Amino acid sequence: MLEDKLLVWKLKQGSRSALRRIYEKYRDDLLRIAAGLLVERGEAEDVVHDVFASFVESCRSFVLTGSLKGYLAICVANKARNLNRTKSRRGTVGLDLVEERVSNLKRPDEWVVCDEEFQRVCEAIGKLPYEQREAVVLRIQGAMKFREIARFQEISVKTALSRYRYGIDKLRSMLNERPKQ
Amino acid sequence: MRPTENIKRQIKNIKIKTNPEVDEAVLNDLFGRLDGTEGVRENTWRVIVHHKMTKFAIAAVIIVAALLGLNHFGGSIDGASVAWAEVVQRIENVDFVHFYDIETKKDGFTAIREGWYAHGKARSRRYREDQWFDDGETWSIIDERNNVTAIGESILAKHENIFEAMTYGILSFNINQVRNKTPISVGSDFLIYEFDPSGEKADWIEKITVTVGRNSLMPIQIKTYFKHEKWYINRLLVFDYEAQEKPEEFFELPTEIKPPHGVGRVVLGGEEIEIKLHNVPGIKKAIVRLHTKFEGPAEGLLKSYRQRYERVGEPMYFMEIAFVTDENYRSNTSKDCPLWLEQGAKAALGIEKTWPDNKYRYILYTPVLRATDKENVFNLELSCWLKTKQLDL
Repeated sequence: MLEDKLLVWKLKQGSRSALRRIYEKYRDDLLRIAAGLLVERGEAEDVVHDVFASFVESCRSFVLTGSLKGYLAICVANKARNLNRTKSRRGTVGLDLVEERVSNLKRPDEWVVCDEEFQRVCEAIGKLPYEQREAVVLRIQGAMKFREIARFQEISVKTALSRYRYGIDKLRSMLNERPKQ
Repeated sequence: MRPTENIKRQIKNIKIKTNPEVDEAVLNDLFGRLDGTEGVRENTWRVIVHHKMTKFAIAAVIIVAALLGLNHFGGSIDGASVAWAEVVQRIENVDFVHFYDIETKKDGFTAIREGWYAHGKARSRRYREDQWFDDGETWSIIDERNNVTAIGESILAKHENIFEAMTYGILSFNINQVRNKTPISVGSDFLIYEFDPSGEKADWIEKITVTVGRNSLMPIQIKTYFKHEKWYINRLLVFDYEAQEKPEEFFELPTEIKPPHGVGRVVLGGEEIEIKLHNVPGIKKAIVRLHTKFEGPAEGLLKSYRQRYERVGEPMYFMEIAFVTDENYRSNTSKDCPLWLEQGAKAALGIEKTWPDNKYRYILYTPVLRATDKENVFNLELSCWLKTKQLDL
């Protein structure tokens, strides 16, 4: 926590090394969160890039009151939620199509190099209802407390806990299944 | 390991590798944005600093800023006016803390535990005794052999922060009622807040004091004063922020189970059997009989077993058990000792008056029932420890 305070202070002074350190420290976690919340990997990468960009642009007025990772994780979750809402207004995508898109998406300029396990876990998370997906990803990848998740989802702590448990139970049954031949 | 733990680990540990070229491109973009916001300010700053006329003014501003900065980063110019709400704000942001939990009676310390909290998980242990783990969902106790002996609802999930959790809610107050509370004592580098217990806690607690650092506003100690000496005179929690943060694995339940002190084959509804115990000073053997399998609704159980029964979702078993000491004294018999399949249960037997020589003997034991390939036939693993009054202090 102290290191983050110092890094933010240095970043406010325009320190590139502080920015690099923050980026390297939280990049992977944020990409994992975004990949869990969004079906398309390209969108996940864009969201993380956007979050870092907004953070840098507003860092002069930024005051760190809690954990920096928690703050950035919430930013990613907010952007992902907005993106999902926009998409759902435009029309939904069927699950089969989603699977196909996830597995076939490969670009030469891709930021995240995925292995099969990553893909399998992301696919399984992507099949959860969005509220449960958020609860699972923010808890496990974002290391957020249930109280913080509840505040973010504007629900009670018990509901956050239930969403998380239902999500985990579903994931357990999905990930324990043998892959289809 | 529990399947839920496996899934959590699988999700948490998914490997992610980024393309270094894209990384550099993203960073360059961010540097550009940073220069766009900060570069001008830095130049302006340099111009102002090098202007002779502003040097004295800047010196004055720095002094004021330093004082305000102290206030902002945790201190206060006047400690007596620091409201409890400010402390709560700091407490909310604690990611890691190491603590000691000390209970005292008239004769001295009765228990000293050491604990750690990091990122929503906690662990506490006592020298050669049980340990507890709390992963934010489940609270588990393990014995010296690493068998789970109790499972319950997470203490951390029930409370707002580690400090409330560690006082088992004694420190949980309606923040609106205590928001403006100020310290009862102001030292050169600490502040002490005093609270009256709320609700029925007032029946057994006299008061709670919280000592916080004057600059950091972080709790250094929390002291609970009990009303009745038969429990404790007080309980002291000491917090240490200097310790190195523990890695995540430290907060996970150990998977390696140490061998038990004795094993015997028991049949449900069968005859009593003797289990010879090895390496247990003072105790020779145990005499056991497995008599009941319980699968009914939780309401049919004692309250203390219900929560675990519902969480584990397995049948429960009950047995009779007694121990024989090295002096050939037989202990009293526990008629309904609870048993869980593949999990431990903590139980105890023996008080002064039950032994022929009136000496203090207290036997702590952990039975674990292991399934075999035959229905209603189990391997019963037993571990036990003989405690004397001297050892207890």
